[in-house]
Amino acid sequence: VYAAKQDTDASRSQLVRILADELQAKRQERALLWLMAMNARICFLLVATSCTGEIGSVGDGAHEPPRGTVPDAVDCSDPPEHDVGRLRRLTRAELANSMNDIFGEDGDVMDRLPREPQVEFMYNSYEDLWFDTTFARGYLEASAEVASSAASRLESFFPCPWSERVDGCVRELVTSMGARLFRKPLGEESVERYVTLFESLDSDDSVNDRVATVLEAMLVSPDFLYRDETSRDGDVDESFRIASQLSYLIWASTPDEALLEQATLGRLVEPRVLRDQVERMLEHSFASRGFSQFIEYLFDVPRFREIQKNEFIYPDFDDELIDEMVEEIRALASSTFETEGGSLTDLMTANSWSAGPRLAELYGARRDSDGIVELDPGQRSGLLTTAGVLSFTSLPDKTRPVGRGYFVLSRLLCRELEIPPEAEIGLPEEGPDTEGLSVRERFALHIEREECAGCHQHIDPLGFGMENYDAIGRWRTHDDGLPIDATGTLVGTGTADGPFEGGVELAHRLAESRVFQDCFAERYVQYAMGRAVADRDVCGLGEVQENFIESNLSLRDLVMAVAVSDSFVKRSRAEEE
Amino acid sequence: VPTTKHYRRAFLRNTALMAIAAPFVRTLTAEAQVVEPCLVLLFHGNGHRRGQWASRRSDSDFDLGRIAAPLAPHRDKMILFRGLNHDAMKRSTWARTKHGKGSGIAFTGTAVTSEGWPTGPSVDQYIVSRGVRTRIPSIQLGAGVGDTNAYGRIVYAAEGRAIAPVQVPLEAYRTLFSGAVPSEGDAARRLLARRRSLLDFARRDVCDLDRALGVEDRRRLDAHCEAIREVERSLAEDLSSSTCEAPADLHGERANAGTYERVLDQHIALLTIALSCGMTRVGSLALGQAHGGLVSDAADAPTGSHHEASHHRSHVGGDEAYVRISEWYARRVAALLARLDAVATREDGTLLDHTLLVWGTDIADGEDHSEEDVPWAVFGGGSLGIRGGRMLDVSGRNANDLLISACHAMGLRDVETFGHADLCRGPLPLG
Repeated sequence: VYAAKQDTDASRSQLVRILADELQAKRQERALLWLMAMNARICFLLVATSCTGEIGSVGDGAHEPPRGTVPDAVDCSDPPEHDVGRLRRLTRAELANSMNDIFGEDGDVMDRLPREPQVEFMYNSYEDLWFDTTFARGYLEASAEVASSAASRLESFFPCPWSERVDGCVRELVTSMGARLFRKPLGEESVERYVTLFESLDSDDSVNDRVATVLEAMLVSPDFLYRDETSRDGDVDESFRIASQLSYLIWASTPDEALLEQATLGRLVEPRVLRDQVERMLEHSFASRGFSQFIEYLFDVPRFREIQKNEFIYPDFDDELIDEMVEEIRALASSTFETEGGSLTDLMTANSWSAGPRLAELYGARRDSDGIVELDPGQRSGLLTTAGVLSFTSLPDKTRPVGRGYFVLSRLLCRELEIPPEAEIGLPEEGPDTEGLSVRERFALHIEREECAGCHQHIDPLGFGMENYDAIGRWRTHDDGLPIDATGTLVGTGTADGPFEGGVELAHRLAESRVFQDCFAERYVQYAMGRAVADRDVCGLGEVQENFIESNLSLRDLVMAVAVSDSFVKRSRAEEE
Repeated sequence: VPTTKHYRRAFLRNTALMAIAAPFVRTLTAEAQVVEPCLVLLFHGNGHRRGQWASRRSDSDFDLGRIAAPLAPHRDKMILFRGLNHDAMKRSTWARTKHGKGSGIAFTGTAVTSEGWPTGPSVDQYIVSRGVRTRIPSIQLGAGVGDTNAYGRIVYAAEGRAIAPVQVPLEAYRTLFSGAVPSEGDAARRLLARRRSLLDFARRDVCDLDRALGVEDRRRLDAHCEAIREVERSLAEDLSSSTCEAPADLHGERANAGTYERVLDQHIALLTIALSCGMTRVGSLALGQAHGGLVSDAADAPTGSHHEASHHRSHVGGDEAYVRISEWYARRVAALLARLDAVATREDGTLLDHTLLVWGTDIADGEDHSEEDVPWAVFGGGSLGIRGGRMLDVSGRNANDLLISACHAMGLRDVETFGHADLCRGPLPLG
């Protein structure tokens, strides 16, 4: 079963990538477009072989049971092994946040590093993070800048009588910065190595230059670059491991001194202390930054920069607008998270949030002096109806109901859609066959084709329901002179299934759906583990999901539940080499 | 839409670096430093329109079609093939389009996984792993390449270890020149000394320190160690005595339709410099990607997407667009050949004669995605025992055999198979 799941996971993520790639690859078309006839063999996205039957009923034996319910076969009274602790290279964002939190600035130089591959929806899949040569060259240069910037303001960065007793100050700096950067105290031997490095440098070089080199050496050390989640002996060492896991989950950054203090006392192995620390961390302003990163991953925000729009149709679409789209989702996620009791329902049904002036204009909404826009509740409802999400799931020149429907079904409802053999991905182009048809009608053509209908009868009706937003997320009632038909059908959600009209109703119906709520919790568990959900997670995941429902979908309770769960906290021993 | 901000900053930094380095970086001469053999892999996605590439009567009697015509000036230094296959595709069980198989298979000769990733290294990286002593082991360049799946990856260090091409010329420049710290002048000398100390420390930190690690983590740190070593090596050899100069006005963003040609041409210039200055002797250039869409404005092709045009039968105008895009790629390749051929070496022959270029693609023709009779070509290598001016009938042979030939040209004559051994029959008769 596990192997089969890996396969479907693989193909699912593959399809998400292909979809997104296709968007990227589609460049802006010329004003003079040669009409292209429809390719009769093209089947838009998926053919039927894997999608026969009712979505939501997968009891034909070839599929595993839907995720989120504990299958009878797993005995949760005898939980399976935990993950083997591994080295996890920090992501660009984690490096940037860590440097900002430790040095107070300069984290943005990490933007220069190569972007992590997207695996599933995530960029923190540790299996795929390497320190390769391309990364090394960029990172060495960037970390040199951070180090020399800190060293150039040495007196304020690390107050110490530098001019009187350099050697003592260096030792203090190494000890203190080392503990912060490496997220655990340095052994005596390590301190000596860095002090020796300082001493080995030409004494005619300025103290600042030499300190910069020492700081740089710390920044390029594996002790900084990797989170070592290897299970250790002793409460103190285990506590340091747990401290890093907690802080990179909750804050997307390095532990603060208070957390390290608890680790020094070896107390993070105590469930009560662990819970207290998680509560404390959730109160910190960094917590919304951490949670926002998860939401950004889930809604493909790191890829918004790739969005391209036809300059003739959308002449105002530019980088500045994309920046506002990114910032909008970040702000909506953060403010919801910071609000007492902020819930998944709020993320999906809000109609007032912080957005930039360009977006306010696009939404046709007033923007107050705090930058808050009040949106028409008949037009907007939370994350799914933000301009960024609607733009990303569209083509350069028109909407793509299939893309939007696929996003909802696979990403937000955790539906596994198999990719059929040799399917050709293509788009319904304008041509003689499609003249005078709306986008909806053009796309609908392929539902009539038997080989495509299996999946598309489920995907497309979802996307059609969002046709009242154009390819950059503007509200519309007409397309090309034709009135918009935004009726759709929701499938695969159990009780929330059925016809709906428009993105607002869809968002509300999703928010009420247990399948969506469970999927959201599952996505968070994936994000926390930095890998796809595996069989050994099933019991823990079930508990997290139950807890999430009982907490009225409170976002902070979700983070809490995962952060203190055994499968997140505990690690098994690696096999000896 | 890529941001320009950080590239602009990067550019300023580069300019500053070049300014201090200027006294030590002398003007480019037309003579290459190295006469060791070089290898360049070229790749474009979506194949060529069948029937428009070239046609053969005998080995030496063949006609260049519309697509291969821009290569005519180099006819004596090229070998085309008839009947070259990609049988590794047949054993890839992955149930997606053949494009996604073809990119991973092309230079590895191995079947691909369900996600399209090949199960072995590409030939260039294999050669690198056998030992090269250049400033940079290899340089990977590309444009119009996506970052999210195997369609955009042709170079692999090992199974599961794709190497992304550098897509921005300015970044390629940084890769080539970043260690080029001037070795004269007091401040510069001090900086260089400190960087050496740092890298020496960093190398020992990751390579020598004994850490209790599992097998997987050990592999990860080994790669980390190798990366540090590589940067250290590039610093060890300063460029003060070399004769290399980068082209001016390097582009600081990824290619779009308007800049695709300029970006590729700058990559071509940088690649030529990298080889002629002996910075590396292994390189690759991805001209777009498998299933790729980007079309240069300069191709004057009436389509918005290369891939869509490649389905020429079913798209009005696709046929002509498909051919024009291929012609444009052939012109880029011809430009690279011309540049390499203009560089004299200390021995007989030009840099082109000392370089073997392999131009591959994922599929034969976009209409049928066939893995048979793929329109591949090799160029150069005259001083490496390769005899051009021919179109060889290699029916039934696989591209694996061409990869073996590449190893032999690079001096690795012990290589008997590459990729799946049972797909190999030995090197192709390129001599």
